[in-house]
Amino acid sequence: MGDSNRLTLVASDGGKFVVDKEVVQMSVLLKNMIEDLGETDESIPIPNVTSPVLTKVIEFCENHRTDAARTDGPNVDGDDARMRTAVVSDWDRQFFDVDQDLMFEIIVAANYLDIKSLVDVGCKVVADMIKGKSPQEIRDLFDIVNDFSPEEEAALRKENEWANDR
Amino acid sequence: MLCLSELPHDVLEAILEQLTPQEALQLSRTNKRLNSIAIFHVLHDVTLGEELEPSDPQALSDHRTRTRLSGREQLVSFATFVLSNTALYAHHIRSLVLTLHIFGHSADSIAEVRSTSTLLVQVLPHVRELRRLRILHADHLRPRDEDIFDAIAALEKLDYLHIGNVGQKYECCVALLSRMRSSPSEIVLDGFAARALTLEPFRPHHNTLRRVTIGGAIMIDPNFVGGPCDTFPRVESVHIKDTIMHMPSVDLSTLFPKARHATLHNVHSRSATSDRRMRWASLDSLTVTGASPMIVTPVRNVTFLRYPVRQSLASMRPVVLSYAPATLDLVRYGDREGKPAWCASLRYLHLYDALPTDTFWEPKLLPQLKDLASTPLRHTLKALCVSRRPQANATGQPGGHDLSESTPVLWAWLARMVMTEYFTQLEYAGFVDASQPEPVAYWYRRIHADTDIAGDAVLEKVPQSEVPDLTRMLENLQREEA
Repeated sequence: MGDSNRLTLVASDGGKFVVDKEVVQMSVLLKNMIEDLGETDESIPIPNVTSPVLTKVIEFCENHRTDAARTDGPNVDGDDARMRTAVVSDWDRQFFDVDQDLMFEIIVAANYLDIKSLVDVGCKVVADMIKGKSPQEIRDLFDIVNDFSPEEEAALRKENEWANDR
Repeated sequence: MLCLSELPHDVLEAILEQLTPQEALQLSRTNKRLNSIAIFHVLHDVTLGEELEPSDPQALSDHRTRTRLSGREQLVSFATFVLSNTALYAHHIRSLVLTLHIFGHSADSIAEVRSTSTLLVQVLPHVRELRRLRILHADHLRPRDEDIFDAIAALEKLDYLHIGNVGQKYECCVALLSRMRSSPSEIVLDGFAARALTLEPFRPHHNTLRRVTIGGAIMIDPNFVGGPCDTFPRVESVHIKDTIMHMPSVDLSTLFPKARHATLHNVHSRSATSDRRMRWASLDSLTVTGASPMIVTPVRNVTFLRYPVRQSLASMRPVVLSYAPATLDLVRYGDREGKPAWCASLRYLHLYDALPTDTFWEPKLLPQLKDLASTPLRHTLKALCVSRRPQANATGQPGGHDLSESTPVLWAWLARMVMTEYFTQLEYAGFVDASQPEPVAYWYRRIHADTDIAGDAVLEKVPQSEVPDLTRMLENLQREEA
């Protein structure tokens, strides 16, 4: 019989990670699975997440395990504006100081595992990268293919003229 | 390899929530998939109309060289866009702000103006999820545009309605409030009206309103209050300006018995009774600008802006009192005449915006502090904070002399001067500049047991890490005293 406070996660490439249940429970998906399974020694497969990404996700959860309780709770008035102005901590910014591919994979994995705080921080980091940039600068930064024809672009500009330079 | 444009829809939504509508617009122009998601965020908060010209010369130059649509052209463009596919676009609009010249300049033809208002009337019935609506210049509406009020009245989910510069549209606004289907929690009705407003039009909303702003030569009628529907029991915040109240038997605290925040600006009373004192037990914070009724119950936080009438606070026991510098002369007046001091219970005084913005600020600040020390505060004040408010010029850059350039020695000298020469009981002195990108705060505290060779108090600088706790502690100190 293994340690009942720890369990094993198996990444899509077979990598195994033994972690505290408390840490894993930052993921709503895994929390529900653990509750459904009850006491078990079985490993939990995470088919959509590779080992490098799962390593990072666990690192984040380990670091934020104590503030899980603080981040729960309903939204209140003015949350949108507060979210826009909330500052990403140095640790979180450092955490996301990785190549873009890994950064997006972490956010997608967090979204799949339903780890709200990690999704929020990741999206804020991406949003901060977008702020103040022109469409072409955003394309260059994120390697986005411009699939508009020149005519479509002109039409788009015309129909959104009301929103320009506000 | 994952790309931004290939992220799941809900992740992109979460990213867009962190962006302003303008930033979402830039993202929407990068790629078709991003456009299909981001454009709805551009629609969440829509502001149409011309901006006021900035006062800063450089910003004004930039403002004038930018090519912009006129307010009317913007409204036409917006309405055309929404009406091109109302099912797709209209229900994303949550907030609509109509600012200057939205209904046309005087130079626009009648036909152009008519087409503008007609378009808006066509759009509004589709905007069923609209929560916030601001029309800043209702007086610019032509007589034939008034069917806009019918369209607003038919909206069902409006939570915030602001009509500014009501002017000659007074009757329309009153009729609108009386018959609107929405139950807003906040109504702002502002601007000169040809005749006095009673609170009658607000009556249908008496049970839902939480915030009320009334302004502009508006009269609160004495005949209004009569039954339980004539008070506003849920209102938490009241802002009344340029108002003449005719209320011989009732006061604001009766109308708004649960209000916690009030701003009173030029509120005159023509009450038959000479006693203008008012008990308003629910009030937690009060901002007074100009004349106001006398409130005799304790208020935790009082802020004077300009031209206060000091009598308003005659018997008040404020916990935290904030002053703008223009009021300091009035503080001195009266207290030197030996009248009962309003400030007898005051322990912590925060002088907002009292730090001048130029380099040579000392000659301006010190006389003000010296004057203040000529009041009984000299022997009662325990903590003093002098600050400069966050402010930016028209270019968005912080203005004024950066206090961080001043040497700590200077701040220590000033703190010592304040503590030893001006306020004998002062234990804490703080100087805060919130106008810079990184707010600067220098706090000093007296070390009780020590004096220097000259017998003066010995001070120590409060570590930056302790400053937030210190501010809280000072407010609590005052609360306990009160």
